[in-house]
This record gives sequence, C-alpha cells and structure tokens, in this order.
Amino acid sequence: MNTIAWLGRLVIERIRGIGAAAHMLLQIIFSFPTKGGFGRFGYQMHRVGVMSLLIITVSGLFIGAVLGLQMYSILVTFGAESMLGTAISLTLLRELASVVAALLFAGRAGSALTAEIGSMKQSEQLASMEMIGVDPLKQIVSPRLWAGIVSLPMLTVIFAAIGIIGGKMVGVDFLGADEGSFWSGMQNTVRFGHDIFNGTIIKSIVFALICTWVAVYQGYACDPTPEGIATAMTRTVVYSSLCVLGFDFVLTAVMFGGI
Amino acid sequence: MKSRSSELAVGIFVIIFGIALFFLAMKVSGLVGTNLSDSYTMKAQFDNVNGLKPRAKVTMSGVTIGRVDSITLDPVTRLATVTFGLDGKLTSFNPEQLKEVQKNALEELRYSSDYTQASPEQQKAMEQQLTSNMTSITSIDEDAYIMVATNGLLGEKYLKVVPGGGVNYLKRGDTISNTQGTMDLEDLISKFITGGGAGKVAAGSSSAEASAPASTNKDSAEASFVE
Repeated sequence: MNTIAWLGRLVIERIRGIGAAAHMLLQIIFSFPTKGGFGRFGYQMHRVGVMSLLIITVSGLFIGAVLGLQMYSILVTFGAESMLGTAISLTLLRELASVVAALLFAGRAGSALTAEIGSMKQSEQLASMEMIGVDPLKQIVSPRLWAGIVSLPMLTVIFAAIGIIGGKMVGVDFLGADEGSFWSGMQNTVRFGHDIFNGTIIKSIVFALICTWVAVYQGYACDPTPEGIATAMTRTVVYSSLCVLGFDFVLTAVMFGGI
Repeated sequence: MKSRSSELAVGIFVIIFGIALFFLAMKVSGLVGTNLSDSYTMKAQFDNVNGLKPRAKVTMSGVTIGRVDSITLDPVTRLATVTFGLDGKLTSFNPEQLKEVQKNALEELRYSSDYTQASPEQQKAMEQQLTSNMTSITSIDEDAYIMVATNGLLGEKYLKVVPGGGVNYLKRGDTISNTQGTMDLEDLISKFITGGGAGKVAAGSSSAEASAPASTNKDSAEASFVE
C-alpha cells in the first residue's frame, strides 16, 4: 500500500513540478523589462555565451573534422567524393550542430546556472530579496533565461560554420578531395531558408528555451542543501539532454519528414 | 571595469556570430542574392524535366550563365515550363559587337527577296524595324536549343544551351522553342532491349511515344525476315 502511495506522490510531484516551471516561464516571458535588466542581461550573456565559446568552437572543429574523415572514406569507395561538401554541410546544419551544441550547452552553462541559483537559494539570498520587495524572478532568473535563449542559437551558428571549416580542412586539405566541387556541391544543395534557418536556427531556439528553462527551474526549485543542489545539477543535464533529443526527433519529422 | 570587459567580450561574441552567419549564408548556401549581374528571365517548355531542380545551373559552352528559378506544369499542353534567370553580362553583346551583329543582319536583309523587290521607302522602314528590334537582344540565337543535361553519368541535372548558327537573336524574356528533355537511362535501355536500334537510341527520349509502335513494327518485320 505504501509503495502505491509513494508512486502516486512521485507522479503528482513531477506533474506539479511541470506546472510550477510553466508558471515561472510565463511569469518571466510576459513581464516588462526593467531598467537595470539589460545590464544584467549583458553580463549573463558574457557568462553563459562567451564562456561557452571555447568548448563550442573546439568541439565544432573536431566534429567537422571527424565527419570529413568518415564521409571521405565512405564516399571514395563509390567514387563520389565530390559529394563530400554536401554530406558534411547537410549533416551539420540539419542535425548535428543544433543537437551537439545544445548538449554541450546543457553541460557547460546549464549546470552552472542551476548551481548558482541553487546556492543562492541555500544561502537564503532569494528569500531575503523577496523580503525587501525585490522579485528574484526578475532580478536573478529572468536575465539568465534570456541570455541562454539568445546565446545558444548564436553558438549553434558558430558551431556549424566552424564544423564545415573543419570538414573542409580534413577532406580537402589533408585527404585531397576537390575544393571546387566541395563548395559548389554544397551551394547547390543547401538552401538558406530550408536548411540553415529551419534546421539550425529554429531548432536551436527551441533547444535553448528547453535547456535554460530546465536549468533555471531546477536551480530555483531545488532542495536548499548541498546534496539537493548536486541532485538538481544532475537532473538539469539529464532532463535537458533527454528533452533535446526527443524534441529533435519531433522537429526533424515536422521540418524534413515531408518531401 | 568588470562590466566593461564583459561588454567587450559580448561584443566580440556577437561579431563572431555575425561572421559565422555570413559564412553560412554566402559560402555554404550560396545565397549571394542571385550573383547574376543584370539578370533577366527566359522560359522553355520541355516534355520531360525528370531530375531537374530549382537552382540548377544553366550553362552555355560549359560556362554557368544562369540558374533555374521555377518549374511548373502547363495545364493545357501538359509540358513542363521551366523559368530560368540568366546573367545579362554574359549573354548580351557589347556595343561594338552589337553593331557588328546589326551589320550582318542588315546584309542578310539586303540579299533577301522581299527587300530587293520593295520600294526604297519600304526598304528604309524594314531596316529601321530591324535595328529597333535588336535593342534588347541576347547572344542566344533563334536556332539555339536548350536541353536537360546530366553532369557525368549519374550526376545532377542542369540546363545546357547549345548555340545554333542563326543571325536572328532571341530577346530578353523570350521563350526558347527548341528543347530536349531529360534523357532517361531506363527508356534508352528498354528501347535497346526491345530492339529500337541504334538510330532510335540517338533520337532521344522525346520520340519515346512515337517510336514505341514503330519499334514493334520493326520487330515483326525482323521476325519475318528471319523466317
């Protein structure tokens, strides 16, 4: 009997969590920007976006390079190494850039957001803010959420560009595929609206919302103990990765599933 | 000071983003506006454009002179209508060449029977009409034909303009009337198997329907010959 009660409580607890997170998101999105808000937003852009730049560029370069290596060795068996540019760019733009950048972002920036907000809660900074009549949602959570939503799409675009350069470096410069057909094949198949705007930018905006929303909510709602913060950080990474991969399938089915 | 350096870092971040987006737009997707200078559109109707896609290139003598804009189906003739943009700089004459072309056309006109039989005033009018007709001509002559070609044996399809030898030139916005659609490898193989003969294979897919009954006749003829 106890087990059933525990199970029921767990489910209700999760559903309540989703409700609270949605409530928080709506409160942040439909609130007027405050005067000092833009300054705080800029500083969070630095912490969330700029600090993630290194891991994004390095992993972009290497993922592009590995793609170039693998695709070349597969395509050369069919004598189709002129399709190398097409293969690398479509893979990166439609899937890999947005997903991998979002996963890295969840690990690099999302967990940091959770830890920061969680430890603020632990040291009762959030509670004291409420006490003096300052809304911690506006003061603390909102700039971080917006910074995440804005910076991940930018990081994704940088990731895709660096990845294509890395693929070109390995495929063309090291392995010797033809440079002319590399670029022209790419330009003939990649369409800006269809592949870059849909596949990279729209997808990454959705992923950015998911990742930062999960991170911020987990920090805001965590148990104010060291153990609670650790659990919240783990949850941030796990939940945002799962959501990103699940939503990626849905978005791909909607965008590219047709003709 | 701290906020100042973070502003600088965010500024650099935004600039890197701008460069990356520019790179994706220009170099990767080839969204260079249309890099056709002084562009204009022309049309052609094909019986089969299987494999041809929008943004496929249009070439003349191997030089890319334009891109396919759209492919639609004409409901009356049930032919595929292909609209393509051409580069005005590559496909029109410069003033000296235009003068040369006009001179050739006038010479041609002077030898024609209509001209020699007409009165001097009519001759003058004909000459004027000819020169005024030649203001917005392209370098594609009326005998030129356009075909759906394949890059390599199995590569992508593109349009190939093959110049003819005429002295009358098409104007901007005209329709190229001599066309040849996609040459389907399957059609060719099936014709080869059913005994279409080498001559018919060379005739291409445009005569696919017409040659079908003919080839069966020939089959029976060959059969009787064997007997």
